[in-house]
Amino acid sequence: MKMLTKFESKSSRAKGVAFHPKRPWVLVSLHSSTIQLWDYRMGTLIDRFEDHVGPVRCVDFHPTQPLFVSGGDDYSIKVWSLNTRKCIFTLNGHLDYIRAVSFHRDLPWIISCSDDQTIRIWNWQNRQEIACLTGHNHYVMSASFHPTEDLIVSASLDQTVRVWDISGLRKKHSAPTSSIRSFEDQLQRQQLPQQDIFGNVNAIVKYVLEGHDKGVNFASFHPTLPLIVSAGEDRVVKLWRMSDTKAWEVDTCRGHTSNVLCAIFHPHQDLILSVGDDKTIRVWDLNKRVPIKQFRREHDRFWLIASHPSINLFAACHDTGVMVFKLERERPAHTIFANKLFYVNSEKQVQSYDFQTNQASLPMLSLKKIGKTWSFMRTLSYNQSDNSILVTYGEGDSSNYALISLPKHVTGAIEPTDVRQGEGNFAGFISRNRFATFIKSSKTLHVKDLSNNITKTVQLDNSVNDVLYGGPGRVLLIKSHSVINYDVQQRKELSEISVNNVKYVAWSNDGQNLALLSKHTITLATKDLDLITSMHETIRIKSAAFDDSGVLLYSTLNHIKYTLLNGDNGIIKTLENTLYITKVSQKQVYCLNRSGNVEVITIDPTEYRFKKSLVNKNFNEVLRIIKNSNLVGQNIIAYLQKKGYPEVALQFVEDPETRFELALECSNLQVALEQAKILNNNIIWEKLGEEALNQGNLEIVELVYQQLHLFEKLSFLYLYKGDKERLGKMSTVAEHRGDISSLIQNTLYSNDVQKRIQVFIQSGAYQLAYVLAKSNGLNELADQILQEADIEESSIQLPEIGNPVTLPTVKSNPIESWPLKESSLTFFESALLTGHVEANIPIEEEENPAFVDAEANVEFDDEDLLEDVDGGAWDLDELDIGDDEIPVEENLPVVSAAEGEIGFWLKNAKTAAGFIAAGSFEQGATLLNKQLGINEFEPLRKRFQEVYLASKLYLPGFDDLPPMRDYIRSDNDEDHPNRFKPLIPGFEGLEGELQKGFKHFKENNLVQAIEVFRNIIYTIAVITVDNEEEETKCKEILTLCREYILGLSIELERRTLSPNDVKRNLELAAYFTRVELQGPHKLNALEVAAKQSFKNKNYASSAYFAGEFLKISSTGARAEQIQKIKTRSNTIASDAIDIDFDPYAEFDICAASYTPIYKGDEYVTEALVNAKYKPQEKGTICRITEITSIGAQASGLRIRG
Amino acid sequence: MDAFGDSGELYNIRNQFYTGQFQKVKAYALDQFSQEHQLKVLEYQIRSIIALGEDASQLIVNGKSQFPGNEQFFQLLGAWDDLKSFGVDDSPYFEGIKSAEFELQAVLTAVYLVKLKKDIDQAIKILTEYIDEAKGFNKFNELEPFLVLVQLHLVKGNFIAANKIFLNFKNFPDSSRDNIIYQVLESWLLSIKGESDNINNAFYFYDELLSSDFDEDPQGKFKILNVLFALTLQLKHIPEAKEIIAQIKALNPKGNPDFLANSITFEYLSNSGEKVDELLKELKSQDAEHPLLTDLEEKNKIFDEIVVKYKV
Repeated sequence: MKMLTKFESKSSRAKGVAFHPKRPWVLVSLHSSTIQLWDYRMGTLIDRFEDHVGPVRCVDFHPTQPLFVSGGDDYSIKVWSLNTRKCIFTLNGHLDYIRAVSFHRDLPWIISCSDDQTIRIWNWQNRQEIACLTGHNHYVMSASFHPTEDLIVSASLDQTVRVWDISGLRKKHSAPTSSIRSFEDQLQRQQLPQQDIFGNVNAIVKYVLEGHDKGVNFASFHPTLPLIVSAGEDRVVKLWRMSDTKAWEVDTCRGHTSNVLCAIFHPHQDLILSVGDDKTIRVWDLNKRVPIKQFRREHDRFWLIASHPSINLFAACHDTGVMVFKLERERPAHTIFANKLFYVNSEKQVQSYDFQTNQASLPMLSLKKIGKTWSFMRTLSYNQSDNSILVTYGEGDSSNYALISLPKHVTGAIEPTDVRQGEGNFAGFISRNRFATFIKSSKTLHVKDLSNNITKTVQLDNSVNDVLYGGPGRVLLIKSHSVINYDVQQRKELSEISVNNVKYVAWSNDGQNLALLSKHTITLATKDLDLITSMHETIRIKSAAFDDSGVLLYSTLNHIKYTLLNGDNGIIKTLENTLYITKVSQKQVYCLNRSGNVEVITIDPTEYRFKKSLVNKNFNEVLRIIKNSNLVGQNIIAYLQKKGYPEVALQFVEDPETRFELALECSNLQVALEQAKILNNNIIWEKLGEEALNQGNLEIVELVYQQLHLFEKLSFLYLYKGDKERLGKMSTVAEHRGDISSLIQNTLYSNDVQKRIQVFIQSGAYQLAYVLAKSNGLNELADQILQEADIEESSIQLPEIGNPVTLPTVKSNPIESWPLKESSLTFFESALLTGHVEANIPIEEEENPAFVDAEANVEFDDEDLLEDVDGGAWDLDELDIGDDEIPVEENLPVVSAAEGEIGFWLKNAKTAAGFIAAGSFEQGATLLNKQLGINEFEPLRKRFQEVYLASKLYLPGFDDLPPMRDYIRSDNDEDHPNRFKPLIPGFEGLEGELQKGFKHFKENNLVQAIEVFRNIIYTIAVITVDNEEEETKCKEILTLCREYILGLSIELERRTLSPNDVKRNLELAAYFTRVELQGPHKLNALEVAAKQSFKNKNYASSAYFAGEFLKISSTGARAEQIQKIKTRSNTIASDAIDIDFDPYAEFDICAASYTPIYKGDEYVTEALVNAKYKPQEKGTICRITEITSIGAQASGLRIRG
Repeated sequence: MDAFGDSGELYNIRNQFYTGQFQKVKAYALDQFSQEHQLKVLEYQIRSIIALGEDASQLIVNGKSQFPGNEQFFQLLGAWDDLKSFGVDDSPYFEGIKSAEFELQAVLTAVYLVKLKKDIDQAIKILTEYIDEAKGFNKFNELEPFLVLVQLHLVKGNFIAANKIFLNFKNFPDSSRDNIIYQVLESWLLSIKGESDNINNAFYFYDELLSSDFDEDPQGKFKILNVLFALTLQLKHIPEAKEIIAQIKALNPKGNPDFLANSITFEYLSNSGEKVDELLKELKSQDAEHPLLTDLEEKNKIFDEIVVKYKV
């Protein structure tokens, strides 16, 4: 048993507490007069209620109505509304502190008790006191209704517990249905209980329970049995039983060291819980009346404990607040094997559930006798080969495991016969005949066989807190801030991921991914613990399972949700009761509830399938879902928009405003225009106009301006369109509107001088009119104006006027909308338009994960291929299509139809190495010849042998018989034959080999160095790598090897020259410096070149090489010497011998003749390391690789498996 | 009660025999066993002695008089003993057998055919016929012919045929699966089937066998380590493989061609194949006909052709 605290509030002296029957709320009444309403799930304070004066000792929610009641030291009872959060009314009558108050389950009654020695019953509908129960002769500390019968139990400091019969009260207050009473009714009323001595017929004392030696603080009924529990100042809890006629004391629970303030029955289990002044909560066995567990707080006295009406939760009030807790975990231990779920039900029996038949088996085994009576089964692990289970139970240091065989035939819950037990906080099978256990206190991991013998012990480090299942042969070590994937057999940490406080793990069906669950975080990772994504949940996470397609479904306290591997998530269903997901299959979610039963929930997976298809770009599936389901809602639309598919979102939306926005987003002006017409709103029109202008769609711009009466913009639009006719109309419009300024503007645009003069005249601006006429050479008109204005021409002084300004006239037709390239419809648009969706859709009804994966891969391959095509390296013969088909020449022997492992390898081979490892040397050689132009195979003999033998094993069997053939795969975790591939060695060793080469270089063993670099080239020529990264690395190494071999060959050549050949010597020394060597090695080349040049009086060159040297290294003895050479050389700065080397020109070096190939010169290459040669070398064997033909047709290195 | 079952009296001796603990098998006294099982015990003992390279003829002669009516049986053992202890290459007895009449005859004839006549196909034929047709054959108890047959299929690389036989066991009663022979057989197929789980399970099986006491039977321990070495390599657990090599070297076994063959693979995986040439030479001196060598020879021939074919 373990106390699991779910919530704690900090406040001074909590006196009363009550659970809301449905919502995750508790009311807490405080000594300070405040009542608090908390959401214990979220840990937030929802509201505070202040109306009482002085301490509030009791509160209660109404079981169905949005009401609660409180009672305080101000003698008043208050009824509050949860809707308005206000006190509705106050019930007055008590004459002293009120100790307890609560609602009746179905009648509109409230019961209260007080230090005034009375118990009162109130009708909260008519707000009347309907009974006052007297009899106790001291404070009444508690009083409550019986959960089903017409009884009350009360406790008083008069040392008695009383049971009251209130059936009379019920009869009196249940109104007769008609005025004429039936005979039976009359008869019933005559049989009313007898009056008590005070003449009280409403409620009479049925039993007085005496036995406590001091005052009684609390008494409560059992929910179903005729039992009462009471708590007294005499430090004991007493259990009482009643029959119809009498009541008697059953037993006493002793243990509290001080005043017991409250005691209640556990609502579902045979337990009693009590709290007291001694700062403890104690749990007692109801049947044996012995203590089971106690929880102690250091400083807080407990006042009250209350149970939740339906959920397994308790709340206890103490000096510094309230705590909500449960007594045990409620996650039924379970495990899945093949198509079966094995689980422990509420009766502690093992059952199985068959996912195929959807049926639960009979209970097969009882675990009641495993561990202590109240110990909970935490985990379950199943072993098929032995048909046995492994359970863990208990807590902390007393945590144990038991290995039990299941019966062969299920006949009902039998007692286990063969139980092998031991200490362990974790225990789980890691193979057919081994299981691992973890003891937290000593941090040891044991591997045990099925006879419970230890076969291996691993001492883990101190920070390991827990262990979880990690796949076959492995476990996950859980630390506070990380999880480690641990290979038990090898005692090796394979990988680690940072994640806090993981509690559970869920593995995907294919074992490739896992979800690590903490209280509020889910972390998705690959099996190698590479982080995929992680997310936070405000509500506690309870369980998770992957569906067949790799979507994770998980449950929180109140939801079933999903998440895709990219982190996109959503809610699938709201839960009334917490469920633990065990398996997801298509639309069925198989859950276990807290009563240990399987619940199958049908969900609608459309949403996440849709999202998944979209993320995976499986558009056919997306379309199929669009067509076949009613997938709507803001959620999906927002998602589509976010993911960049507004055109798909458009298909779902009817709301014009959203449609308009989406249409703009996907630049669909036609749809936007339609929607704008419907909406007819200025802001919308403006947005449309702006977008249309951006796109150069002048018709729509015009329409928008017209719509918005933006005359000026319209005029300007016509102006730049060159639409004279429309401009003229605009003038007319302006005239109609009497807008002179606009009219003038238009005449300016259209250069209509006469019209403008008219306007000036009409508005009396004769001067302007005259000047305008005159300046445009309209003299007659000017005279007319003078006459009209009655002015002499002589009285006007004009500046000298030149010729009238002529404006260019538009000759062509007005411009049209900006021509746009006809956009092709997107996949969705065309499919939706043509209706040719179904034809594209795979026949399978359900999404096939393997298919999706395959498709994604193919797409990736395609991209890859395209890049290569652009690079021009591909000669586009049948080899390069990237299909799985193997290029086979007609005259080649076709690969024999091998079976078994070799057959798989051949079928899956994509690289030359793959074929060679599978033993098909001919295929491998053909590929190498076509891809790399290899013609000289002899040097590859060793590599062929290595690749072939490294994946072969000989398994010894029966004596005297030959060994069996066995194989090593590249990935033992691969479980699909279509991906079985041989192990190809070499990649891991490349770095080491390079170092070897460098070492030879450094030691001046140039021939050996070349040999090492060449072997590296052979290794890479016959290799298979897994990913692009490795491929890139191989290619980089090839280049490196090429440069070193070239450089060292040049240097070797130089060393063999006759001393007389100074010119060639200097040239070769110079070329050596042009080879791409690593920094320190390059220094060697530069040093040689500088010294040789200096020696032979080529001072300009030696100064140059020395300069280059010093750029890389400027300190040390060598640098000093070089510095001297440089200084000396600079003083002379001329070359004695003219050599074929221009330090400032770009050139490559022919690997055969060791002469420069300048930019623009013709050259040929070979395909493996891309070495360059002068054209005359074509057809010979490459000097670098010694295997490839120079200039041969070749498609390039292909080593990705 | 099944004498071979968990609690049967032959359980231990059978396990010891099939895991190469021959000294232990030899050490039993016949009268420790009930009358009906003594013949089987004697068979295990005689075979153990032969396997240890010692002469079993006296025991065979004694057996003949002790268990009259089993002439054929002792004749077979005698022929087997002759073959082993005199080192002859031809056995008129085995040459004369065209079809087997009882379990041991089927098994030993098959081994004879493979080892001395190099005729795997004929051996497979004899075993298959015996399993399919022989009268009085109690296949639920006689698993040894299956074991040899499965191995022969696997030697030929025919996993499908081997697996088919194995899958047939599913129809056998559960008790058959407790049989050590079944477990050995299963371990082979698990390993060849591949995948971490399967290989691990096979590994654990042998790992567990190793926990028996092999002080007297170093050759038995070597055999198990030899298999473990192959499995560790298959799992690519190089450091563990090194440990096993050390253990094997400590035992200093006489002939170890399969171990040498697997060491070559180990060299390639751990050491860039530096010692491969040396190992190949040693393998050649121990067993010039080892499948690795014949295979490699064949591959080299193909490679020679490739060299010629592409040369310009």
